[in-house]
This record gives sequence, C-alpha cells and structure tokens, in this order.
Amino acid sequence: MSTAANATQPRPEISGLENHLAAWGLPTTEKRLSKRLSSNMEEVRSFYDAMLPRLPEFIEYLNQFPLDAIPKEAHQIAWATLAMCEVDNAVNKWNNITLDTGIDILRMIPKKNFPDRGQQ
Amino acid sequence: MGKVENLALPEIGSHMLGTGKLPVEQYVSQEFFELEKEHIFRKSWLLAGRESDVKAPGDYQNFMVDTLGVSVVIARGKDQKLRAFYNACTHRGSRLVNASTGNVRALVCSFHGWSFNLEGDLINVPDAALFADLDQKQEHLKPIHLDVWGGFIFINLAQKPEWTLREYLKPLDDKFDRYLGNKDWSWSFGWRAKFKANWKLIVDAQIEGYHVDMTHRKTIAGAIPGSSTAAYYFPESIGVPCGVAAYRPEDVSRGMQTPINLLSAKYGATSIYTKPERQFAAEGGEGVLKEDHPLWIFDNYLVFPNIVLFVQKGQILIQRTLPISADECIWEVDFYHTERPTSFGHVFNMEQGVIQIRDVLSEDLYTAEGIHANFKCGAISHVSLNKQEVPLRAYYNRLLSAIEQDQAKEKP
Ligand code: FES
Ligand SMILES: [Fe+2]
Repeated sequence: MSTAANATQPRPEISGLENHLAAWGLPTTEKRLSKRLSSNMEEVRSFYDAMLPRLPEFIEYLNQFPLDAIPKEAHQIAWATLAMCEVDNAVNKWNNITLDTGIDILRMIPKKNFPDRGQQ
Repeated sequence: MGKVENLALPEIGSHMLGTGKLPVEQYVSQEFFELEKEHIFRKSWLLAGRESDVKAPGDYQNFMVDTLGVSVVIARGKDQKLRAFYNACTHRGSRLVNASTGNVRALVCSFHGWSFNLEGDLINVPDAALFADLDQKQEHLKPIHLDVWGGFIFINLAQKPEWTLREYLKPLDDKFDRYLGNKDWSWSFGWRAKFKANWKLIVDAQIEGYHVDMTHRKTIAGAIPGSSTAAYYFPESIGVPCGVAAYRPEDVSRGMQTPINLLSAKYGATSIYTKPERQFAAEGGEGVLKEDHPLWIFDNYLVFPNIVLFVQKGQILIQRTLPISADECIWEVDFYHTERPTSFGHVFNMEQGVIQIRDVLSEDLYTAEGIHANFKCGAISHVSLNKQEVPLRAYYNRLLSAIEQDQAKEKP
C-alpha cells in the first residue's frame, strides 16, 4: 500500500461512464439501496453492464490508497463500485428490483452500535 | 486448515427428543406469555451488551426489557467495574438516562437533579435541607446482577439468580469464553426491526437448516445446502438447549457465485456464503471452531431464551429477539469482527457481505408474521417437526422446564 503522493496507478479513464457514476456514486449503503429501489431493471442492468468490466481496475486503483486518503476526485468511483454490490442480486439472481421472498428491506433499520434502539 | 480427506458431515439431526407434533399455544396464549415474563425473562441470564463497548469509566449503555417495562443502565465505574442498575431515580422514580449509550461523570436525574455516582451511590441532592429525614445512604440505585462471559455482558433480574452465568452457559465452556472474549472483536454493523409475531418465532427461524433450500432459494441456496446443516441439542444444559452447524457443499461450485461474489472473495472473508480466497484473522479458536473440517463455516447456538449466537472464524453474528407483547417483538442482529477494513478492496468485500447477509435475513424474517396470525386465529393448532428440526423440540422442552422449575421453587 502506498500513499496518494506516490500512487503508481493513475486514475482510470472514465469517459462514457460519467452518467452512471453520477447516478450511482452515492456515499452510503442506504442511499445506494434507495437508488436501486427507485430504478427500473433496464437502468440497473445498464449500470451493471457498463461497470462490470471496469471493476477490477477500479478496485486495484483505489486499493493503493490508505482508506482515509482516497482522493476526493475518486470518491464517486469508489461509491459506484460499492453500488455494484447493491445491484448484484437484482441482476444476477432475481431479474427484479426487489426480492419478493423477503420482508420489505426498508423495515430493517441500520443500527449505529450494539445498544442502538433509535429514539427510546 | 482442514484435512481434505475427511469430508464426512455429522448426522443431520435426531428423533431422540420424540416425534410427536407440538402444540402452538406457547406462541399466542396471553396466559403463557405472563408465565414467560415472570419465570423466564425475570429469571434467565439475558445478553445485554458487549464489554468492549463500555470500556472507559463513565461509559454506559441502556438495555430495555420492553415487556417488563424494565430499563437497565449498565455502567463502568471509576474502579473499572461494570455494574447494572434499574434506570430509576430513587427520589420519585424518573428515568436517569434516555440515550442508548454515552459517557457521564455521574448519573444526574433531570427531574430534580439528584445525582448518583457510577457505583450507584446518591452523591448530591439539591437543597437537601428541604427533606425531613433523608438518609442518603439508603437511596442507592437498585442493583441488578451482572456478569461477563466471552466479552458479553449478561444481566439477571432475579433477586438471587438460580445459576451462575458459567453454569447457565454450559456446555459452552472456558474455551468459548476465551475465544469470544478476544479483545479484538469490534462491532461492525447491524439492523433492528419490529415484528407482529411472537418473539420465539424469530428464534425458531434460525435454529434449523431444513428451511435453507426453500427459504433462501433466491439468495444462497446451494452455497449452504440444507443437507449440510446438522442439528444438535444439549438436554442437560440450562441455557444452551441446542445448536446447528453449517458446512459448505463438497462441490464448491454449488450455489450461484456471481462475478461480484467472486471479485469480493479476493479481498476478504466477510460474506459467509462465498468461499473466500482470504481467511478471517482470529486467534485462539481451538476447541470452538471446527477448523479440522475443511467445509465447516459456522455453528449457531441458542442461548436461552432469546439469543442465537453464530460463531465463525473471525466473525460473530448475534440475533436478539425481545418481546413487546405476546404478539409483537423487536428483532436485532449485530455483527462483530476481528478485522477492520484497511483497504478499499476489503471495504468492497465487507459491503458485499453486508448486503448478502441483509437480503438473506430478510428471507429468514419473511414467514414469522404469517405463522403468528395462523396460530392466533386457530388455523393451526399443532406443528410437525422432522429430525433436522430437533432444536425446536429442545427449545420447547427448555421453555416448559424453565417455567415448571421456577414455579416449583416458589411453592412452599
Ligand atoms: S425523580 Fe429524580 S430527582 Fe426527583
Ligand atoms: Fe435462514
């Protein structure tokens, strides 16, 4: 691992991906989940298909930075890369935006720590 | 790592606890629920927190036993000791803390300002001279029994607990205490939700492997075949009636490994459903982790009455279910890991694992409300259990025996 200053791999070429990165490069899992839930399969698939071949390169590029030193201009790539985890099942297993054999996923509220019960 | 020649799996279950149908009253009867409150929730050791989350003097956590209306403050004293008290000011009964976690120098009541140190002593009364004959020493916060095992904080609301925590948790012995108590475990993520279902139905869903192929057909079916989840039970145990051990299929190509799964597996081991190229780091699991079996993934233990504890190398998953009433409960899942991501690749792996597990849990939770309604309206009065579902029998037996034993003790 190296620092931003001596990063060896240049930032990947993203031309042609800008719209996808802008749409899916959202900073939290929750935001990426709601992006999936508000998209249709065509949109999800076109994002997935455009990103998939680039993914190993993106991860290797981001991997060369310490986590807290990923350059600002690479954040969107990082978040869009994580968004691929969010659309994976929809594309590869369900052929559907939501899992119709589970509870509404929004009922599961992310916790902040072990005792977190929200407002008591 | 394991010896590849030894791929035999344990027997999938047993009929030793009987083969008859079980009734369903214990899920829907108000009368039974009152017995559970009195003889189970007031008498069992209840998992309430994690020691490493209450590290510094003044750190506290709030733990609720909703159905009893009991709010517990768990606090680390200046002497480093952990104590539990009712979250109740001894002046006129106001709650002392409202946040679920925090750090304080003293517990100060926001009604009239009485303050208590972290040992529970009343240390300050505004305008104390206004009271006629207040003996401050008598106004100590009401204590609750607390003990720690495997780094987990347990509390017991009984006046005098019937068993020590260690006796309670047999057969999970010192080896587990050491492994789970490893200082390096830290909380990673979790979820909570409310269900209109009896609290035990959510437990039931996690203590058998018969459901895996069907319930999880759109996520992990194949990656952990139902036939690779062996059930066992501990009839002599007070607090650990049963468990399930999960193994990967011999044919590792089984289960759908998507390109995202495979890519994420290069960078970490977070998803339990993907064969990782990297292993979790976790020291000292001898005797706890079945690492001599090459296909073993995790064991889950029912910690009576309401916890399912999944133990894996480097990853612990805790499912907690607490009743609000006979017909409603709060469900929580929390993950602890021995490793924090240090690179983006590991973050990617973690994200993939979190999302896979989230979706799998959403399937596990899918049936409880429908089952509850079917029990409650009388459509179903008995249920059938096969030998792979023997943990449900062990759980039911323990539920009844815990109530009976406690009732017997109360009789003169
Ligand atoms: S109730 Fe707490 S100070 Fe009065
Ligand atoms: Fe399941």
